[in-house]
Amino acid sequence: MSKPADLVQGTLDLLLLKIVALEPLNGFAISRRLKQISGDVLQVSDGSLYPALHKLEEEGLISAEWKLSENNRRAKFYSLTRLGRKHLETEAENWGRLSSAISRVVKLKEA
Amino acid sequence: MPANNTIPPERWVYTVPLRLRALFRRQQLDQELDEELQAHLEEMAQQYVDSGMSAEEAHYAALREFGNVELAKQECRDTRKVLWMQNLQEDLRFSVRMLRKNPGFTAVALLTIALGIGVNTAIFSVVNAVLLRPLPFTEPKRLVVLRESSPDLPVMSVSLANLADWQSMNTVFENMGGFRRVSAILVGSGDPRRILIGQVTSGLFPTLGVAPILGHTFSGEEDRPSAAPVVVLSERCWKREYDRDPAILGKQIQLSGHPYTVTGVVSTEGFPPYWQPMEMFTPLGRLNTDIGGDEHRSYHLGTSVYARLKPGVTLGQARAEMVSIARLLEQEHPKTNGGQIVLVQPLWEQVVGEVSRPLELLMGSVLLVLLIACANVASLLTSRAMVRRRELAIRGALGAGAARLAAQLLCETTLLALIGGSLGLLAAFLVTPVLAHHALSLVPRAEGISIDRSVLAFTFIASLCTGIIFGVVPAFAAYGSNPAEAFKDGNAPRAGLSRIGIRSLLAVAELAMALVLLVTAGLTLKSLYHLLQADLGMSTDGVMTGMLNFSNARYADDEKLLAFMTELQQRLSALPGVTAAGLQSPQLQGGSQISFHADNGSSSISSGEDTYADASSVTPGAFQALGIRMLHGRSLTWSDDASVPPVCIVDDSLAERYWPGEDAIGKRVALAIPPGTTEHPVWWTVIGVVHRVQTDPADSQHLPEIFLPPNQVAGGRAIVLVQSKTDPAVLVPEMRHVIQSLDPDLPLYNVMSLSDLLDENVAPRRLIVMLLSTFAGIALLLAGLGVYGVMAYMITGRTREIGLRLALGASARDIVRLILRQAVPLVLAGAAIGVAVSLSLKRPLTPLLLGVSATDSWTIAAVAALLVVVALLACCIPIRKAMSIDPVKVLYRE
Repeated sequence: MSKPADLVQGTLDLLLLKIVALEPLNGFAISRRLKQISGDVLQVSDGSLYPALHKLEEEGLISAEWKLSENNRRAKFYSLTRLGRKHLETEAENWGRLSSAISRVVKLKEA
Repeated sequence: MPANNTIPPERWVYTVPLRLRALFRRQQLDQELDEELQAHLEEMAQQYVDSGMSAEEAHYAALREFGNVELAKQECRDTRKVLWMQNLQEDLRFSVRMLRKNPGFTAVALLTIALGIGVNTAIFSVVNAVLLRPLPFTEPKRLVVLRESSPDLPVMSVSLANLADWQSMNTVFENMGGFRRVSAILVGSGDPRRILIGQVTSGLFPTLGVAPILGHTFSGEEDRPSAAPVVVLSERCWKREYDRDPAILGKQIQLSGHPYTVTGVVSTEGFPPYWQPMEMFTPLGRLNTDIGGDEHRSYHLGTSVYARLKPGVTLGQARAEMVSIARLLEQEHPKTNGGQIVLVQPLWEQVVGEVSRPLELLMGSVLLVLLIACANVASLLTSRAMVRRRELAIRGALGAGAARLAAQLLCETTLLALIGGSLGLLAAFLVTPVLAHHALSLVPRAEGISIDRSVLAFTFIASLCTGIIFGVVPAFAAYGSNPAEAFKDGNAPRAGLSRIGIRSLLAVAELAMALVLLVTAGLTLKSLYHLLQADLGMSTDGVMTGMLNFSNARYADDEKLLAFMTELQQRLSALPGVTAAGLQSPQLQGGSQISFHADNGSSSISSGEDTYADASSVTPGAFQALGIRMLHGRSLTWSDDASVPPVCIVDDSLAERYWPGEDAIGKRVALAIPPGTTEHPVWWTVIGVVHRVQTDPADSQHLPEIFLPPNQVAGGRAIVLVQSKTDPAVLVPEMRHVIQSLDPDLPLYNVMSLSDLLDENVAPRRLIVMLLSTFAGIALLLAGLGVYGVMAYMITGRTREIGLRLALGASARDIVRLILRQAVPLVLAGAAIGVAVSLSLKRPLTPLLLGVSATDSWTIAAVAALLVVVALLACCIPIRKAMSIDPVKVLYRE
């Protein structure tokens, strides 16, 4: 099924931004949340999750902080920066427009 | 979401600290990355354990689910965007390690580069100061110099009447002004001092765009005939004599006994060298009644004219206009302006014209030295690249890309070049002041020589280019090699044909370039030798000279001046140790050329042809002091004065030209005395002929010379000549004492021995020869090193072969022959190419040579022989090394 490379370019970024927008999470929790939300439709391997997170961090969209996790382990927690929040808003809007447009086109074909 | 590669500025707040962190705290980041992934794996394993797995099973399950951990780490690191900088850091560290591991190689390479960059920086600092800096005037490109020219005298100064006409007739110049240098005696703060004064017309300072720093320069009113005498001080004189006192304005000062009122101060900073020594300026037009006006149209008293082209007017247009003006003036004044044209030359050319070619030659030479240095280092690096083939092959096999390897090699060579360049720069910092000191009196604008920002930029770029030039060759050599082959042969590399090929080509190129430099140095050296050997027509041994200036009103009376000179000559001759003493005074203040014509047998004076001669008056004793050889007739005496018919002495060049095959004694010449007179009213009878004197053998324009009796001192100055049996320098205090006792206000200046005085003609050439010889020597040394390197490398590569030959009974002579068979073709090819290139340089070299052809076969043969000898000497060490090969050891290794 869908490997991360098949994800629409940048979709993973959007998902990750949305997930950490709710609350600061560590990588493991993000991975779990991703699976929960997308219900295994989007299979993102942990091996590609971390580079994606580090990329967002390098771009200044999310920031990281070392804290103790629920299991009392030291873990790196990611949270959205102000820049990331702005970015998320515009990209979510773009995504909404894009997906509704695509679904309209797809329905048109079926009719 | 499109990939966003460019980061908008507002993001810098977030990203810049991250980049810095990535760059400088890499280890911490890597550690955190490990920890983060480890934590993930442990949490995941914990989940599996919670669902009932054993700890070990859970660990592997977590790993499986995660995927390739190392790959993930690498990808995370790659997001940091500073990878290339990290690579550079690594490469640099590695390069430093490699360079330190081979101290011998590094030292030789660094020294070679330092030599090349050092000489280039030093010479470029001169070129920069002299040729590249603009002149210190506003829009200097529009400034030109105007001079007159006639068939007899290709370059003449301008008569004031012509200047006035040019000024009113031309439409191409914005402004023009005349300048003439004279000297006077200043009685200022210290002892009476002879100073140089620029006599200028009111248009001069506005033409140059020079504004006074205090007061005002000359108005048209002050530049009129018989206006009150005023003077403008140079800033240097203002500082030296008056301690920058602004109250000097309006005060009176005494110049040669005449009062002048100070009206202003100008800065002569950065002025052309001819102007530099001017301490004061006075109006030239004030003297118009004496030297200007139509009646003095043929007075060419050392005035040069500076003019500023109107914007948009080209040099060609200005020349065309001055040609037509000269024609009009010729029609109006056929007697004085017949055949005369006007020369228009850019000021720039006048200032640096003479030195631009020698400087270009020097710059070309040092660039050749740098190329040879490059070739040498490239050669060294190539053999090292061969030795390092194994290392490179291993790194390649471990996954380093070809580009990455090349980048590493280039990093190493660039590092080498920059360190070598820095060393060269250090050397240049030591050498340049010495060079500047030597150049100061010989090269215009040399006072500006320093290692400034543009010189530093040049050095940096030259070093960088050097690194790239000599880095590319070994990089190619390394690329060309097959990694698999490198593994096969762990020992010293085989002498593959292409390897030897690159290095041989480099050696041939080095030899050829070195030969070109040697030829250039050899030819200029021969010119210098020719110059020093030339018969000057006089003897400089033990002769001391000094100048006297008679501009003081006290000497206006000819009788008094003659009495003074008689007394001085007799007292000087009587000094102990003095063998002869005399005075010589040039006829004119600006120069000494006057027009004359020789008696051609016809009775009419005006039918003779007019030409120019150097004329001076000499006292008895002057010929003896100078060692001028009397060929016929008698010398001049004190009794050849106004009371007897005028007599003169001519040199043999004049006698041969006008009276070939005849006895010149008793023949007559008509002289334009006072200068500018056109009617030649008086015949002077020749009473003696002397051998011609050539003060500057490099000057091809030898004017005939006429010597007049002692009472003809018209130029207002005289040179004192004293010859002694011993060191003449000890006479100087006594000479001064004698003059002081006759006139305490008369300073003796420009005191120097005759040989030093004449040396000024030779000194520039000597400096050039010295520099060229140094460069040629460096080139020869480097080329020798290059040949040595190739041969030594070849021996290393053929150790096995030579060992086998020795074991099979080859004699020492066979081995020498084996090596020479390799070396001799290289050396001969290099020499042949060098000779061919040298022969093609005939045109640029010829103007710099004297008495020797640019294709002088003896010089070329001699330096080619020198090159061959040095190159073969360079083979000696490799030959000895080959002889010492132990066949037994070689066979064992097989």
